[in-house]
Amino acid sequence: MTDDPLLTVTQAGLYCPEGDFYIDPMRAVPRALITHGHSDHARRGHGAYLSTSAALPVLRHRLGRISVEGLRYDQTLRIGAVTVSFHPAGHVPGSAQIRVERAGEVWVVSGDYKTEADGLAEPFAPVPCHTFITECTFGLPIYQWQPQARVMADIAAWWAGNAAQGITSILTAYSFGKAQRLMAGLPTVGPILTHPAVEDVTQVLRDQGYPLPTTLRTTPDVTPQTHPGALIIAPPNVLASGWADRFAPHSTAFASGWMTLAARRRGLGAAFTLSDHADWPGLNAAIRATGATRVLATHGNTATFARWLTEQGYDAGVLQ
Amino acid sequence: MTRVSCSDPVFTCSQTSSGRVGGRKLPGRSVESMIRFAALIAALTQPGTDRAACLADYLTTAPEPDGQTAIALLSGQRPKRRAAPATLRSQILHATALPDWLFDATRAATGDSAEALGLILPPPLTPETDSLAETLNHLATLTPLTLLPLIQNTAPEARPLLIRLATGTFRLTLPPDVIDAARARAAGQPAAAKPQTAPRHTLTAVMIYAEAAPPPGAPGPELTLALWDDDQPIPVARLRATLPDAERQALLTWVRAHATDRFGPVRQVPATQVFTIGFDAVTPNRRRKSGVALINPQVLSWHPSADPATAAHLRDLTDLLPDQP
Repeated sequence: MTDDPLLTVTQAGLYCPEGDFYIDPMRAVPRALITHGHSDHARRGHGAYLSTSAALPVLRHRLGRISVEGLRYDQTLRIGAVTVSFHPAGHVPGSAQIRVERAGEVWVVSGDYKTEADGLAEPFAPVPCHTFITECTFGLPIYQWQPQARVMADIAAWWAGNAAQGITSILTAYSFGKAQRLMAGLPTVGPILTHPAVEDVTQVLRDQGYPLPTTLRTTPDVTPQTHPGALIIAPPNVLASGWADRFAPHSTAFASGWMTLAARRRGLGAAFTLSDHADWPGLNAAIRATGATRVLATHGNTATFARWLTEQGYDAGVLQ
Repeated sequence: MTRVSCSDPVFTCSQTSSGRVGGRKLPGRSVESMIRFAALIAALTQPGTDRAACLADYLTTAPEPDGQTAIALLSGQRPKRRAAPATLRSQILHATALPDWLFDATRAATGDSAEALGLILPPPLTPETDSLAETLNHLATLTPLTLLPLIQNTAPEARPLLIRLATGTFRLTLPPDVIDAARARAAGQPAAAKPQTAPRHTLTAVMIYAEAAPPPGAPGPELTLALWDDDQPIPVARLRATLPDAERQALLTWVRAHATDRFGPVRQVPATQVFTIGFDAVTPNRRRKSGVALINPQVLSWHPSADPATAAHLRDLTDLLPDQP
């Protein structure tokens, strides 16, 4: 038993000295525990990867031939002097919070998380702990999400309005996570077409058994004439490339938590506020639910959020 | 195709390179009235926007009283200030139990005080459904103490606008020529802008005049359609027909071949061709020979082989008039 912190921040990222592993490291390391498959968390070049079994297929799809092992949610594994386990974070399919325990002292690293169940990702489950390292991407009180059903209804109305005018709808979203949440959550208005980058990940998740609707990969012979009234789900970067030109006339929309802000909506097409991160009430509820006395904030307005938590009676700070 | 668009979840104003301006009306939620106006204001304040096009689009798709109210506001007529910005701010911070320093950090993130104040209140369970005009009327009855519930019950998307109107910080005014251009465009595009609105009434009418050569880009010729009064065709609507390419060509060929007189670009034709027209309502109009005017008339189809005697009679239309007191 030692008083050294269970996890510390190093140049390569968050490190556990007694287990000799990193969590979502930024630089190549010998052993990495990965919360989920987004590229800012699952990077290339590590010697060995450990993630949830549910996250494995996407990790392999994105990173190619890697040395990787999977754990079921809640399954424990002893690494050096500590015990680790993965718990649902509700962020994207397969995403996890990581619990690290040493002699009864428990730290939880939230990774990215959201508290509203989206019908696709394994729903967020609070994990009792002493120290909670929480993301706070949307850690300001202006971020208060509407229920998913309402946002989906708004998107469907935009899609239907376009379809009635013979306009193709192009909805931009991250290829992994948001894209699948949208296709699974939207009511059927017309055919759903996908950019190849989206379809590739979707097929990986479909093969795993996630309940995803039928979608059609856009190939050169797929046009507004062959698929009138279609919705195309594509990553945001393709709009600048001219990829979408052949679907004209079209209307574009963005779905993101940042669409809360008028300044972020400016100059875009239609904008819908839909996030895979916790909103202000969600962050506060999640922190309470862990029972943690110590909270470290990362990703976002960390100093502001830590000050707020301090005023709420937590031993809070910025992860650094 | 180049597209300039300025939009939001519930309002899309877009202009294509062909110059056609398309708007749309979403079904159902009348909570939209304020959201739509907020989206219009957002669109109008976006750099590079064709403001006349955006306003025209709004006018063609917004319910009628909203259009008038919007024009009044954008012409510089302002509601009386109901509360000082600082008063409202302290009320909202009190209601949310958020500390001043956190609000300041939040305002810094949004860059806008009204937006930050509007968004830190929780979304309402059931947003207000009042129209823009009703909201302004409601606003006029409120005091600094009774203002907060209205803001709390307004959809978050519309709250920043409502706060600006309530605190006298709404400042957007459009030049008269932009407003006039928008009105002219709005008046000229009812058929194009409301394609998915099913007309409330239909009947058949006969053609008595037609444009022989529609201007380039027009969807079809302008027609004068008539209903029978005994054996006389009485004109009831002059409107531009939107027809499929083949039918449009066939109709123009027929008009040129059967013209009995010419008045500039317009040809008089025998009253033998039958069209189905749709419209939303009928109103009395003493300046017209028929005594009535159609609201939002549109040509739905052409029936080249129909017997002209099967077209409707004027009394079929006057029967639809609302009862006079």
